[in-house]
Amino acid sequence: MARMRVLLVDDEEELVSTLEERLALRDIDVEYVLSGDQALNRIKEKDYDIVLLDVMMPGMNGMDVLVNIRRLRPETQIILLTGLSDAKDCENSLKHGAFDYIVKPVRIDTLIQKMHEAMRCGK
Amino acid sequence: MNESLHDREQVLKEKSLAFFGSISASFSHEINNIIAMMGEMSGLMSDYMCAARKGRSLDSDKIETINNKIMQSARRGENIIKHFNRFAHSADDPVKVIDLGELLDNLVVLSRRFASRKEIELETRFPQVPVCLNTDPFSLQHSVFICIEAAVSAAGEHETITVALEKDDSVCRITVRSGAPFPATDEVKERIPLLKVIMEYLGGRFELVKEQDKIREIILIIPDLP
Repeated sequence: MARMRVLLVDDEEELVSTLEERLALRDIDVEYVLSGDQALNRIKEKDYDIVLLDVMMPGMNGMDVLVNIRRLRPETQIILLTGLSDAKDCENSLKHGAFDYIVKPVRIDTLIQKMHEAMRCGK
Repeated sequence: MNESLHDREQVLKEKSLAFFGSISASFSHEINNIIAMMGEMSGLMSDYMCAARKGRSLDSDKIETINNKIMQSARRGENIIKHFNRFAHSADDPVKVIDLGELLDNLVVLSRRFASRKEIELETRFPQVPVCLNTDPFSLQHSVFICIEAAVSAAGEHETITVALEKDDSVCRITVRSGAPFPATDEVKERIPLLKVIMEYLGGRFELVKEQDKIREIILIIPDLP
């Protein structure tokens, strides 16, 4: 069975590098970048099954990145990570094509379950 | 009570609460990020412990590195809480003698999150000696925050905004200066009436220093109250 290919996008390097390590320990093929611009450059070069995308980032914010990823790779599933419990923003993200959103702090089991759901939905 | 005075006081009350809300929301967001970070690091440590129980060797250097990162995050959290606590207590007294450098430094730390969304740097330039003023500390911070918000909203990305402080005789001047002049956008213009209300309340005034139709500086001139 092919390993799940995941790109993490978050400006908090300590958080994202730790999450990368935890997902790698669970046999997931995972990489991370620290900004929306870096994410779009990486996505142009490489195909991912899932993008885990922080909503609130300096520069290009998560919503703009979401719209651009959908344009570049419509088959890639996007799960938003948000520190805000602002349902309105998150509901809006679903209209723009996100698979779902998770409010930080993230429970690793919840995240992996959501990623599997997204994979099944993408197939 | 005079109707317009009542209206101004009502506006000031509502906007002061909104200002407190903005800073509190930003603070709670920052703390949430730190808790998320600590949760992940603690989770990673558990992952390695779990693997060790299944026979994998435990890398003590790795565990120590993770532990150090948790401690760094805890210190970052303590620092933010300390700044927010000072801010919260600034609303305790309507008027008191304050060390302006200390007060504004605290406000700038709490405002950095707003600026960092546009990758804008906030700097301070204060005199070596303490600058003390008898005033309303909460409203003074509110007025400076409005200037920072206005400059951040209109300045270009990667700009540097400086908050400078000087005092002569019984008047204090706080200058919010952008590296490059910024346009008087609608977001800037809509903040001006409130700034005017707060400065009148503080017994002071403000000046917009322009350069070819753009704003270079916003100067707040605040008196030492008797």
